[in-house]
Amino acid sequence: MSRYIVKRILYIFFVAFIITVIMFFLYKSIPGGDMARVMAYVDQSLKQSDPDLYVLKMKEAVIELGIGQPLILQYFMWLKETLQGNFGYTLYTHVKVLQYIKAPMLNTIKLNIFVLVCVFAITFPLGIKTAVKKYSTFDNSVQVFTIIGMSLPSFFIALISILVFSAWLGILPSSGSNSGIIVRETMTKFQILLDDLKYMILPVFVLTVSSLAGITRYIRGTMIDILTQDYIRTARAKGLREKVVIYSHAFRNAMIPVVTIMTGWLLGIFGGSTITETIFAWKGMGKTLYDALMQGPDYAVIFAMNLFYTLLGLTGNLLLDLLYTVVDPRVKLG
Amino acid sequence: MKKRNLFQNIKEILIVIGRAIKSAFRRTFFGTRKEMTLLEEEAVQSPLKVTAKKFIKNKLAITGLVVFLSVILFCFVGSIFVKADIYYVNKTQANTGPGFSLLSVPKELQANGILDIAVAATYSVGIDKQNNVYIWGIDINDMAEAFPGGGAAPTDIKRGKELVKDLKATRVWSGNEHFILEQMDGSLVSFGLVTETISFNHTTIPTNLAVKNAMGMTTYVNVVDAIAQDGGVLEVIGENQVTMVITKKNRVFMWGNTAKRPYNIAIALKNLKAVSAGFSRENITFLLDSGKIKVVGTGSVASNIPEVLLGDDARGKQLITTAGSAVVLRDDGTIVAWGDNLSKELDFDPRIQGHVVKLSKAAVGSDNYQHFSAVLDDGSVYSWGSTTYGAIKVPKALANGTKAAHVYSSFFQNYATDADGKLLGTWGLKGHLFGTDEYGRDVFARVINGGRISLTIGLIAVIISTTIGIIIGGISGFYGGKVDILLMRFAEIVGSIPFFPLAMTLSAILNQVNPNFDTTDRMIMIMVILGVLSWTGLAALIRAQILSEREKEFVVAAKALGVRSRAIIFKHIIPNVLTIIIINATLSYASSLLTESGLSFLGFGVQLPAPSWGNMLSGAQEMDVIKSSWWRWVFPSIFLCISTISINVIGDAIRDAVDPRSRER
Repeated sequence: MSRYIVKRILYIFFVAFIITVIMFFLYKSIPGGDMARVMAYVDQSLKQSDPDLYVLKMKEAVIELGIGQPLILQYFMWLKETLQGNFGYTLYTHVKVLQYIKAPMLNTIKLNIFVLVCVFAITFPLGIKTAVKKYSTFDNSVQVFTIIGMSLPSFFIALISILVFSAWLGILPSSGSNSGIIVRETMTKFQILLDDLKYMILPVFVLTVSSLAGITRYIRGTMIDILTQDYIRTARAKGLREKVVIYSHAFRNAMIPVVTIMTGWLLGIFGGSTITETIFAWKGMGKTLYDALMQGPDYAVIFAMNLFYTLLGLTGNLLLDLLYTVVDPRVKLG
Repeated sequence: MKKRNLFQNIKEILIVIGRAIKSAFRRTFFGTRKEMTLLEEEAVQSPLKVTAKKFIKNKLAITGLVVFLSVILFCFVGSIFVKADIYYVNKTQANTGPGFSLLSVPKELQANGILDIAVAATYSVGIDKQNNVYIWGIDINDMAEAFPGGGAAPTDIKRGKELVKDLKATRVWSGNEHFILEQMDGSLVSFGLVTETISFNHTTIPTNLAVKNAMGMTTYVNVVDAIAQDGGVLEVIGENQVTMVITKKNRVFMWGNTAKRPYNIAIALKNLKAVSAGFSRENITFLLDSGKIKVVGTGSVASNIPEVLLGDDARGKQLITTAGSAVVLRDDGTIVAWGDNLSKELDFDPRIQGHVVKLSKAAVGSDNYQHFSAVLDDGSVYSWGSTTYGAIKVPKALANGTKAAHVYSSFFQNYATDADGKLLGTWGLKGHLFGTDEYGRDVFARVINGGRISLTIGLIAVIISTTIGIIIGGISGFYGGKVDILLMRFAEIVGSIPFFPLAMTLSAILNQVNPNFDTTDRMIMIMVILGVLSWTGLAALIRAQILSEREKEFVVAAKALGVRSRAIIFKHIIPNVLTIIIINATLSYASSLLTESGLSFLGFGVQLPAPSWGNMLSGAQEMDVIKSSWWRWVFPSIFLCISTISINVIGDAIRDAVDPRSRER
């Protein structure tokens, strides 16, 4: 088991390495990419305040980044910095990238935890209920809704919810992640918490609604499969209560395939929240990537984000494989 | 036995589908035929036939198929007929709502007889013989709500109707977004939209209008009093955010947004003795009471005025102007036109010379008003100039000669009445089915053409991803061993990276690498990115299916019988994998439509101004558009949703038909 984990972790590093190679050479092939890197390396405000120091710093940056050296050398110089956690500086604000993406990262994780809880809280009962009462009116109507839900683009749901909750009803803010520093200074801690939540409701709602359909359908499918198995019949024949049969015997087994699709879904919401975050101007990772691509492009940030997404994907895969052994003791990894 | 290959199988499916549609018709209209029992069916029909039949029997699936085919037909055939000029800009028609009521003259007005009509970009104001005022047209997202103190907007038809409800008027003139009424006592009243700061105001009649005298000193004139002193107004000329009034004693006053009409005409206006005037893009043309023409400003109308109109023998009777040209009717029934001729405003039929009785009413010389209309002496109406929106398509009955006495035209709308005020006909722009966007482009045309682009990109992306998936999954499944491990690891890597951020990054960076990508290149790029990133699921499925098929009894039996491995692959394994491919391709078509629209929505897909269902919505990131210009995002979204829903329904139905076990679900 531990050998397997070590192998997988090594494998993650290998893939991350390949990703860095691809990304680096992609950036190198952009006309003006080098210049942008040098510019980001130096605090541009120096240009006004201290031109001499600015020129000096620019020259230093060229040497430090190894511009003009062979590509391989440049790559390793850059890789060394990256491995030390130095992802460079943002293009306009000249902030260390790690520092710059820390807050958005936390924001996105916060957002997605809420979504996770909401989606589980809704899909599990719904999936089980539709499976147990398949072909009932309730099941059929849920089926229709899930097909529609699967087909609606998340930006459409977002626009509709803005129209209803912000424009018509005027009860929820349509953009931003909080009321702003000035307003928050006058607030108590509890009010700040409420303020955070208020701005989170619409993004969480949209992300939840757009994830509901697929997972509900999947849970329903696996539950129906399992409910036809012999051991369920046996359990019923033993005279167990229906609740025990469904939740203890069937549902635990249904969890196994459900875990497998969680990987895809988790990655999906991390990636898919880009659209939602952009629409609601929610300062998360997706919005940060969007801004970095739109303004600039800000290569250091883009690179860090993509590396993060890759690591997230691969680590997520590993974790879910491990989780797999927990929910299904029959599974042996290695 | 003759060997059957893939194509024969497909042919077979098509034949079955054809027959099934026929029988579905028969079942619908002529009652049911005797159904076969399950055993009979299984005994005489191949699995493919059974599958196809099951699919046909699924009413939801057929509905989905019909809906999806209609969307495809609508977009692909429709785009042949409805062309979308992506660079078209017409600010006067920007953000107009859906509907066709631009030319819908109210019944009551028609019954009472028309006294006067003024035409503006998105609405018209009419007066009947009993001096009641009417307003009709199409709402436009005028942002009036953003400027609560900005006066009343006739661009909101409902509010406009409230405004004119209790008014009595004798004459009416219009600007772009405001209109001026002459009340029964000869005084003027003006209504309109003020969207900018209140530093100027073209909608109220000024009581202290700053006028420079000949010495360059500023004096203030009370225009309301001046009109009363001069015994009323002779003519009013409305223009975009500007109003000009000519009193009965030929005094000229102008007010409004001087930034829109930057020339200083205060001095030139003194002692002008004008009877009529018209605005063009860079100048103002005056018709003087001597019948001569005087132009203030620059531009083509100012630079080449015909000699005849400057001399004593000018004898001008009526003047109208468009953005770049002007036309004068002389008292002998001839007309003289001059200007830049950009929209063929000077190319009228020479046979009308000497027969012109009356030109259309003095009109707004805004950029997009580029046609003239005239009443001829045989009672017919003749229009010439820009052909946009059928503005010069005079109805046959009117063109051949009736009793036309008045013609009112501006922008793209025209009305003709006889001497008694009876409406003889209307022509030109009625409205837009789905409204217009921020540049005045027809949303309907963009939905059709954007649909073609979106559907094509989605389709080709699916073809690419399916091809890669088949090749990699197939190789993995057939060969196994190290190749399999390597390829599947590779698939895992590609599949585990969050798809959307990567697609965004690739799209943005490839655009930077090749800054001179044109629209088509970008579309191809999007197709390739989508295709190259989304094959992993299918590859894994195909591999698994091949592995399981390889071990099945019938394959083992075939092997034992000595059937060649090629025959086994093509006859036994491929048909089973084929269904998986079809199901997967169908479902991923829906998701690639969604991804493309998401990318385009954020600006990383199809680039504006080329339309796609995704990027048509990108304007909807502003609250004002979401709320007030709902037609700009609702219609493309609806088409996108209809397509994805019907594709998902079809995919589901195919899966149900193929996999009897899933039918249990």
